[in-house]
Amino acid sequence: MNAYIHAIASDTSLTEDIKLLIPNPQMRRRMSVLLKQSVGAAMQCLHNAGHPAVDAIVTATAFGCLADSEQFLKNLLENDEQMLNPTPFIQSTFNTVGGQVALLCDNVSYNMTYTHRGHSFESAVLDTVTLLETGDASCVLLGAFDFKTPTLEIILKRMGWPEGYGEGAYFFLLSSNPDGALAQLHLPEFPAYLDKADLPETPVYFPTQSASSLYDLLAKGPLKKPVRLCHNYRDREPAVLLVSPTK
Amino acid sequence: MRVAVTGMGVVSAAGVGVDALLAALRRTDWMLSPSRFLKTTRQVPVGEVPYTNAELQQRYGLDPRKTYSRTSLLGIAAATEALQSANLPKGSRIAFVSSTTVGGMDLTEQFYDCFRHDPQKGRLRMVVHHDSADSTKTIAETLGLQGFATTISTACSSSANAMLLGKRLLETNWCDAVLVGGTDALCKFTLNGFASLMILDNAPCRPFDETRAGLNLGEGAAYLVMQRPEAATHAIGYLCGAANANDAHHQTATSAEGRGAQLAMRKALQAAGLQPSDIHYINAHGTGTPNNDASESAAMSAVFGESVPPFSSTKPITGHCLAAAGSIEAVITLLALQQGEMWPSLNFKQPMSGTSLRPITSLTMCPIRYAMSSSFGFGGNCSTLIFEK
Repeated sequence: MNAYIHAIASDTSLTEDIKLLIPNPQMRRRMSVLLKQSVGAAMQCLHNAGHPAVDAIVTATAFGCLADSEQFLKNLLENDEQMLNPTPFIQSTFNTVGGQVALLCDNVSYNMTYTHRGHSFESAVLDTVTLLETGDASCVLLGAFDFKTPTLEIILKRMGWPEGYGEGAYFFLLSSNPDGALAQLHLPEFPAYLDKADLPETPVYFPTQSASSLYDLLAKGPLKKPVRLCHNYRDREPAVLLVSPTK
Repeated sequence: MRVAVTGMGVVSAAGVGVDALLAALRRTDWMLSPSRFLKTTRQVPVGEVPYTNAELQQRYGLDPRKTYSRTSLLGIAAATEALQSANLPKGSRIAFVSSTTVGGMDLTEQFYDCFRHDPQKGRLRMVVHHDSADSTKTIAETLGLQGFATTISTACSSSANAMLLGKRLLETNWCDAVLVGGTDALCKFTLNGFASLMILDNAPCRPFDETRAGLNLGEGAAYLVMQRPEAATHAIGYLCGAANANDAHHQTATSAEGRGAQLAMRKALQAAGLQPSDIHYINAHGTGTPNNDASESAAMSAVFGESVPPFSSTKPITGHCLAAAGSIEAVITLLALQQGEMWPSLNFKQPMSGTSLRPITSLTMCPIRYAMSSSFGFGGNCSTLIFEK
């Protein structure tokens, strides 16, 4: 395995002005809040890494740009399929964040998006690690994003879900070079079940929570000992992310 | 490394099964018509699968009281055929890489029509199928697939990308066999989405024609089983090159020169170790939108120079099936290799101004060794697959 994490960023840790991260005013104006936060986190991660030459962009999201999807759906039902504004439809696509980052950076490389509920981020990690392992890429921007919407919260409440559903956008810059890395990332594991003891103490379950856990772990600085990040979204999707110190 | 395709299954406007699609490809009088099942005010030609949800549920022995998204039902139909034709040995580690763009949107539309008037209304069982993973999990559960599964969603190149990842999962020994493809049902959301972008044609679509005015939306699913060649007891054909690149030009439109498309084609050729002159047939993305067909023609001219191989778009037969387009066209391309036939591009009459490229317009018999299939999506996502007989 040769996947090393060099830089991280989240939507709540932006140190740069959003106008610098997303310099194109027209793009910025059209972006929904979620899109701006997610693309902002991605651009902050590239900034933190010193703008390396990225040759793959891999994103993960369970619900995508939910607010945009809802907006378009609402418009089409209310207006009886007439006179629709295409912008929310365009932004509802799951790969919008990856596409917008490519557009902002003029990046023509591999661009992939995984949307597999509680295994969305783990799938993106699998793609990233195998890309670096096979040499198909040498520098990958990996990230996950999911945000609450009022409608999602109402539906979850009606379904009897506990309060405290999480959200956020988290990005990681990986390369095959170990020098100066925060940690080494390994292939994810998908065990049949997980021991309760392995699970986080405060479950703030949302589908791409493992990206948030990985971010929190590395926000403390370079990793000192190997860690297994275990998650089991809705008690149905056990998965383990493995990270270890850079040798 | 190339991987063997050992099984395939498809459901499309032509009906259920590879044979139904093959029969449609050989017809020259195929015509898409307005939807019979989807309730919409838009009376435009669509590639609708000619069965109701209830008929599909019955056909596959599914509990009639359970709620399935149409996306799942189409997927179950195609994946069942693919696994049956592959006939994998017992105990194979089978990974499943699926893709969709609409997920359970057909059900969410019904839920939301009640919910928007009163947030306590709308049946929850109609909205729990909303996310992209739902169809993948439902297909896996129905077919007893218990291995690794994931879902890709990169708009109209989704299932081409599922094939690309599946190939890598075999190369890295993540699994013994992989079921790859995509599924998307027609729904008001996408039909109106393309209408709002003014790229939905009210008449049958005319790929690569001067008078083209947009796409016809379709629905369907296609799945393929792939194995490492040494493990395969038979092969329909081989996936020998796959690549993805980004156009980085605009969220929905493609660049005039087809930068991303060119790059995807060149990277796929390189991955397959082939020269442009090795390609005998191209199944183009060819949606029939003014922008796509001009951009794709420019890309083909740039990559292949003066000798662009015979090419066609089969979307006048299937409609544009979004996430499923790449895998449906993978099946169509493999059928071309297998049968030694190149499929005509229907509804073409007049070459586009600014290019002399003309698609094939009649069924052409010709031995084909290598064929290319490309898919391009929103977000500048461009994918090319190369198949070998």
